[in-house]
Amino acid sequence: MIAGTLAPTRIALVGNPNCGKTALFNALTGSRQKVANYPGVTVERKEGQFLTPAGHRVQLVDLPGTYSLRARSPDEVVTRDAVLGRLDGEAEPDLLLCVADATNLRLVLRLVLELKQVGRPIMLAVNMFDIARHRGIGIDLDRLAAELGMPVVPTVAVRRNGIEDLLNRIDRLEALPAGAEPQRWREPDAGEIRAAHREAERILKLCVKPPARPDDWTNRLDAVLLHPVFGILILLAILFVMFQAVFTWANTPMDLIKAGFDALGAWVVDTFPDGMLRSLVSDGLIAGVGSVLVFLPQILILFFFIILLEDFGYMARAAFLMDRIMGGAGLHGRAFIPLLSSFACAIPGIMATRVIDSRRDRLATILVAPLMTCSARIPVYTLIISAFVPHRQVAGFIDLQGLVMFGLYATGILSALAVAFVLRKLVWRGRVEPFIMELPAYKLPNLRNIATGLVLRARIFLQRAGTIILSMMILIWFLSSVPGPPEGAVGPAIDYSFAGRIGHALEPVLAPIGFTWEIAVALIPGMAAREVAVAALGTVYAVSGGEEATGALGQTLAQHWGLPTALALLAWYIFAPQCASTLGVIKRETNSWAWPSIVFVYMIALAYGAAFLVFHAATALGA
Amino acid sequence: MIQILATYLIVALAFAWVSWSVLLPSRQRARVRALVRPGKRTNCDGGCPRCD
Repeated sequence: MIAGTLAPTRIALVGNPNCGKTALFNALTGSRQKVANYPGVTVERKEGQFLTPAGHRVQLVDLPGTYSLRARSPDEVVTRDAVLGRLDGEAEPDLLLCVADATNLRLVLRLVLELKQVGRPIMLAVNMFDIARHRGIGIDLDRLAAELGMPVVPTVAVRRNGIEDLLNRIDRLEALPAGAEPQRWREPDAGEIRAAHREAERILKLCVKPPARPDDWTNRLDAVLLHPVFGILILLAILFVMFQAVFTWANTPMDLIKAGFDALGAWVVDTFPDGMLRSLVSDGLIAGVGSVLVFLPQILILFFFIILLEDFGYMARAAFLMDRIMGGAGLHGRAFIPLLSSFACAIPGIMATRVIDSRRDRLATILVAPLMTCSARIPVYTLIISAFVPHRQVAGFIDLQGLVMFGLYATGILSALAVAFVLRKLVWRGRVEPFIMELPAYKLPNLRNIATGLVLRARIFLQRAGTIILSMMILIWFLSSVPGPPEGAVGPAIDYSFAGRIGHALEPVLAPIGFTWEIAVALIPGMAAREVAVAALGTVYAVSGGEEATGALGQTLAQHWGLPTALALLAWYIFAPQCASTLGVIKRETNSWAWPSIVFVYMIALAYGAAFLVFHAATALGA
Repeated sequence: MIQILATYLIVALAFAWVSWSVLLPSRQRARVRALVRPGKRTNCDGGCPRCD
């Protein structure tokens, strides 16, 4: 607290999963943390700051969702320890700002009653108040405040409604008299849990009036979308349309970006004097970075669908539909959200495994999460598909390129299930814990949230292109250009360079899977991030092939590689552990080098084996 | 001559950046950051593409 005032300096956001804590955090701090309409999006504490109308600077901590302080999973432990002030080097919060989903107050009331025992000032934000009102749910806020003995503020965090009122209440907050409410929270026994449940029901009856005519849209939609047969078919159809759109909608913007880089390359060749600097800019930077940036539209289209479905509330249904399949493979139902996050990037996916209670289930999910098709694989897949798979229709309406992309994603998912199955059958035998997940209400997708999500994805992609890919391409260009060929040399100059020598040295190891020495050169920097390999191929072929090769990398590859090599590289990329950051985060999450080592070894073995099989099968079939 | 110097300078900067952000383990990187900016306390030891 600030001396002489009652304003808190440190506030913790606490609440059930998927009640809008992060949306409220973003609304208060102006931050852009990821929000989605399913539980378990926030798995670690996040901090931000804001100024109250009275000018007090407040530190706000967003905590993972929980139903109780009786923590079971690692993310719930973070919330409990932060609330109780047990986190190392962190003061306990001056105010607990409990966030409630107005459409489902029953669960949060039990948490609020538990939080009151912590002995800190507490306030309740009844979020999503507009949805509750729209459904005809009547909430007597004054009565609720009186029954709970704390200020209650209605909010609609995604539209910033009620934020001003909330800030004013924070300014007017009355501090507890010193020593008045000592911390008396302890793990409740069964009798105390039942008593809290009864008390929550009593308050609910007094303060909440259920709708006169219950809105049964959710039930009607769920009857179709969660149907054991139709539900799965609809899920497959949605995924199928998503991948078709990635290829059919992205053509025009991709052509525009490519034309922009072509024009830039031509301008550099015309303007710069012939020499090292011109080669660096045109062959290294424009050919390398440009060959990756061209995939931005496809990545954004894919994420547009993912964010749209998340916001609508469908992703939690997808988790429910997948539970039986995942359970059959030995994965916990809660693994769906981490695996879903891994489609963006395996790193947040692996961190999201903190929502899983059991260590075995968590480790199994961590081990298979890198097999999900992350966005860094998209440039590799689309480059090879565009170059080698004809752009034609199958069965009159299915785009063949989209179909192959769908197949690659499906192979990644099936491989993850197969690896999990083997792990649970051979290593960690035992029953998979039952899966309980609250299905969120359907909501009309929020355009601002979609736009924010897309801007975030674009920023991450461009940031990587401007930092890691750019610097890697400069080094690849250097290694591909230095040393120059000796006098009287007859072969291509790149053969005499460091990169040429490294590629030729690795060639014998990779020749059995059909990889050329240029691919070997590209795979090394591709360890830092998968899409770097695309840029590296762009640079290597630009340096070795002269200026005419800088235009269309896909055409260059089609000239230099056979179809078996292209297919083998696709198979390699489904499995290969080409991401140092993922291995790093596995080490951090498991606190051991053993698990990242196991992931690296099993994934590289799968990648080599799959590429070997695909290359020789395609060669035998005369592809 | 200036062209060659500029090229080597760009390559040296790229090498420094890759050494710092890719080759240096994230824990060491966090330690160096803490030495440079001792006032800024963080629980993150790096490794995440969102902020790293």
